[in-house]
Amino acid sequence: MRDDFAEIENGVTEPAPSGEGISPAEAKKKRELSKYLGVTVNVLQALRRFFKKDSMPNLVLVMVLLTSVTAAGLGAVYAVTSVTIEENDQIALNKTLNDLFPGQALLFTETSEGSGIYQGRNSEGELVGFGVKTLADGFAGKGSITMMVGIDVRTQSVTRVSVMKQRETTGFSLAAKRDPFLEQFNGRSAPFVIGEGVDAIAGATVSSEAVAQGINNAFALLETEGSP
Amino acid sequence: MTQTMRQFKNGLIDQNPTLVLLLGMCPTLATSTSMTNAVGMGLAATAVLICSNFAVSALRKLIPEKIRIAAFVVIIAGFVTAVDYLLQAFVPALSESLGMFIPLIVVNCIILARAEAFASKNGVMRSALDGLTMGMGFTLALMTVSAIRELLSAGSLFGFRVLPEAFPSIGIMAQPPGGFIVLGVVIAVMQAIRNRGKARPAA
Amino acid sequence: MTWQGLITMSLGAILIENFVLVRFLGICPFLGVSKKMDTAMGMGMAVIFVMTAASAATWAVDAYLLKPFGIEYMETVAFILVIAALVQIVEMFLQKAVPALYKALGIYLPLITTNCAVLGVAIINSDLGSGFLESVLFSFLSGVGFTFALLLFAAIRQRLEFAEYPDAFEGFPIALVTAGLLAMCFMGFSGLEIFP
Repeated sequence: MRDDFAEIENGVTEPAPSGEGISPAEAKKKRELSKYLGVTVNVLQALRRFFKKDSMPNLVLVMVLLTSVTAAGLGAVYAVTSVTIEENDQIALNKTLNDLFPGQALLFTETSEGSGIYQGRNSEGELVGFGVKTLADGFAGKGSITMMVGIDVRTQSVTRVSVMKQRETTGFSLAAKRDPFLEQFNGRSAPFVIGEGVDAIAGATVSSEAVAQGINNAFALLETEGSP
Repeated sequence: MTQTMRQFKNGLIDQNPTLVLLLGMCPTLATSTSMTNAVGMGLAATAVLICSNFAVSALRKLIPEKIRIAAFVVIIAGFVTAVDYLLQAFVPALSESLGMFIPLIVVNCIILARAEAFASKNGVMRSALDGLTMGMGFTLALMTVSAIRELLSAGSLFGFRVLPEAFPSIGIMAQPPGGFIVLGVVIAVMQAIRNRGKARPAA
Repeated sequence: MTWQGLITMSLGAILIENFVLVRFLGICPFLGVSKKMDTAMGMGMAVIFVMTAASAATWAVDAYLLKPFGIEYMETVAFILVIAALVQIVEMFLQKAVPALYKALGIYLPLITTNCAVLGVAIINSDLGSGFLESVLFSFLSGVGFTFALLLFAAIRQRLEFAEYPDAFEGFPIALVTAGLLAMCFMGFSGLEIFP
C-alpha cells in the first residue's frame, strides 16, 4: 500500500504492469482508481499544511470546534435539567402565591398563559382569591419592581403584598421586607395613594409610590381580565 | 511516600491554593458565611477542577500555544455552566444561596492556574488527581474560614447549634469585614506554621 | 432614568454596595496591585474601561445572540470569551500607546480577564434585566467604586510599610485585616438614602 502512494506522489500514475491475467478494461479501472487516490492524498496533504499547528486557520478551527462541542454538550445538559428546573420554579411560585394567603393551602392556576393572574382554589375547589403579578416603575426605570398582590375574591381587598424582585436600592429591599410598610395594605382595597391614608417608607418615596401604583395596577388588571 | 500521596499533601497543605498560593479569594470570602455554603462551593469547584484538568490534559497536544488561554477558558466555562444547571435542578437551595458565585467559578484563578501549570503538561490521570487534591485544599480552606465565621456569628456549624445560648454572637463575623479579618488571621497562622520550619535569617 | 435615580445608583455602586468591600468582587487585583498609588491608579483606569466596554459588549451579545436563539445557557461561555478578547485588545493598545503603564501593570493586565468584578458586573446586569444605558452606567460606576476602594487601600498600604506587626502577618494577611477594617468603615454607608 505504502509503495503505491510513494509511486503516486512521485508522479507515477500508471500502476506497474502486473503481468498476465488482467484485461484492458480492468487495467483502465485500476488506472482511474489510482488517479482518484492520488488526488485525494494531495488534497489531504494540502489540508494538513493549511491547518498546521500554529497557523491562523488552525487557531480558528480549534476555537470553532471547541466552542461547538461545548455548545452541543451544554445544550444536552440544559435539555436534561430544564425539566427539573421548571418543576422547581413551579414549586417556588406556588409557595410564593400561598404565602399571600396565610393559613390556607391553595392550589393556583394561571388564568391564561402569561396573564400573571393566578386563581387560588382550596381543597373543595372553591375560588378563594387571586395572586396577581405586576411590574411597577420605580427609580431605576421601567418595571424595576416586581410584585405579587394577593386579593381576596369575596372582599375584593388585599390579603398580602410581597416584593419579589427589585433593583431600586438595598435600603429599599430591607425596608420593604420590614412588614409595617407592606402590611398597611392588608385588608384594604384600591385605589391606594401615598399621603391619603398610606405611608411611604422614609427616604424612599418614589419606590413607595411605585409599590402603591403597582397594587392599583393589580386591581385594574383583575377587573379587566381575571373575573371568574 | 508515593507520588499520589505527595500530590495529596501538596494540594491540601504545602501548596494549598487559597492559604499558600493565595488564589481564589473572592469566592472564599463570599461563601464562607456558613459551612453548608462553604462545602457546597468547595465541592462544586472541585468538580469543575477535576473535569477541566482532565479535558485540558486530554487535549493538550491539540491546542495551539497561541490560543491556549482562550481554549482553557472555554473548556472551564463549559463545565462551570454544566455544574450550574445541575445544581439549579437538583440542589436549588444551595444554588440560591451561592448565587452568582457559581458562574464566577469560571474566573476562579485556581482553575485556570492549574490548567496552565499542571494539566497542560501532564497526563490525564495525574491531572485529574491534581484537580481533586487542589479542589480538596480549596474546600479545606473554605471550611476552616467558614467554621470560625459561623461559630462566632451564630454559634452553629452546618446550621446545628453548637455553642451554648449564652455565648454572645459576633454578628460582624458574618459580614464582609469579618470575612476579610478571619481569612487574614488564618493565612497568618498558616504562614507562622510554615515559617517555624524554615531557618531564620541572622538578624 | 431621572437624575435622582442616577445619583442613587452612583451612591449604591460606589459606596453602599462597593464591589470590593461589600460584594467581594475583584479581590485578587485589589490585594495584588495596591502596593503603590500610581500602579493602583493605572490598574483602576484599566478596570473601569474593561468593565464598561465588557458590559456594553455582553449586553449586546445577550440581546442579539443569546436571547433570540434561545441559547441563554451559553451565557457564561460567551461572556468570558468577550471579556478575554477585550482584555487582549486593551493589552495590545497599551503596549503601543502607553508602554510605561503596560510594563508597570505586568502580569496583572491579562489577569483582568479573571477579575471577578468584570464578569460579575456582566452577570449582575444580565440578572437584573437592565436596559443598555442602565447596564453601561452601572458598570462604569461600579468600576469607579472599585478604583476608589483600590486607591484608598493603596494609600493605607504605603503607610503600612513603616508599621510594626507580627512577622506571620507579612504580605497578604496584614492586607486582608486592613481591608477588613476598611470594609467596616464602608458598612457605615448602608441604608444611606439622600432623596426623601
